[in-house]
Amino acid sequence: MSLLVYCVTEASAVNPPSHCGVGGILVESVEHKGLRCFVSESTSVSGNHVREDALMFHQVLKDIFQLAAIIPFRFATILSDRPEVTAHLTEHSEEYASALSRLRDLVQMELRIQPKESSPEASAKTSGTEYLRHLQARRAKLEMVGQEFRQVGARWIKAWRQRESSHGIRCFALIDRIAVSDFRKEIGNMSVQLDLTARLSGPWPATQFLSEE
Amino acid sequence: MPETANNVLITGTDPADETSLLDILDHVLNAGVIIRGNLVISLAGVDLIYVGLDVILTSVETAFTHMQIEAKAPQRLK
Repeated sequence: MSLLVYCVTEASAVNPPSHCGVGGILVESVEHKGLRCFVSESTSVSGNHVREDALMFHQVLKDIFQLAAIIPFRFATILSDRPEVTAHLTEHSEEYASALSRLRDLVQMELRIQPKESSPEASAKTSGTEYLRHLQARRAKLEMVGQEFRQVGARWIKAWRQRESSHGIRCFALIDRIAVSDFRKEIGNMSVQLDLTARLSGPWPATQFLSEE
Repeated sequence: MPETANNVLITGTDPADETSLLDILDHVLNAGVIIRGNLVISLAGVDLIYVGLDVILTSVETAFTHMQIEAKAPQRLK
């Protein structure tokens, strides 16, 4: 029976699970080399229930993440059986153990900053050159706003990553798990110009910080 | 007095919160370890598609597009 894989934790950080996962199937774990991988028997993911299944997957991750740092798999990653899970853990044991140790008490907060869709400035461009200049100016402006947020949250931020997306920029802050409330409060006191929107979400597993750069 | 700034919207990770839903789907589909694999999509009890995971579930937009097509044309897919 193939297995849907959820996430990996340090084996000592979380007890064997007793959750129901996607499709109402019991979540089990495979322990190997000091790591614990959470899995459930997989049924074929139905087109009718993709959203519900993804949300159930998220709920399992969330429950485990409340207890410990996790390295999540993307939904819906399926491995053929337990030996394949063990083989995967063997292959990646060093990098997973290192990341989980480093990120043990840390979480990721995400800030999305983007221009408002209906900005009249964006639709008034007449030439390609003008449009490219507009994009360049927009990028510079968004990056500057991102850096302002970074400075405001600096006392909590252990690491910061910022990257462009199709709609604006995404900023990822690595902070202590216990600092989430203070960080939210501080960022929540900020504002952006009327032609921009900013949304802070989290805490998330620190997937943007799995590798040290 | 006209507004001169937008406040930062703060959301959590609770799917009951509509503003969090997109972020949640984005994270479960786009964040985390990738292992190449295959997925069977079933509609009306019939397995229709068998393709690489990274083709089907690469982004929220793709997932939403998939769901919208399904919602608009259920009879055609049966």
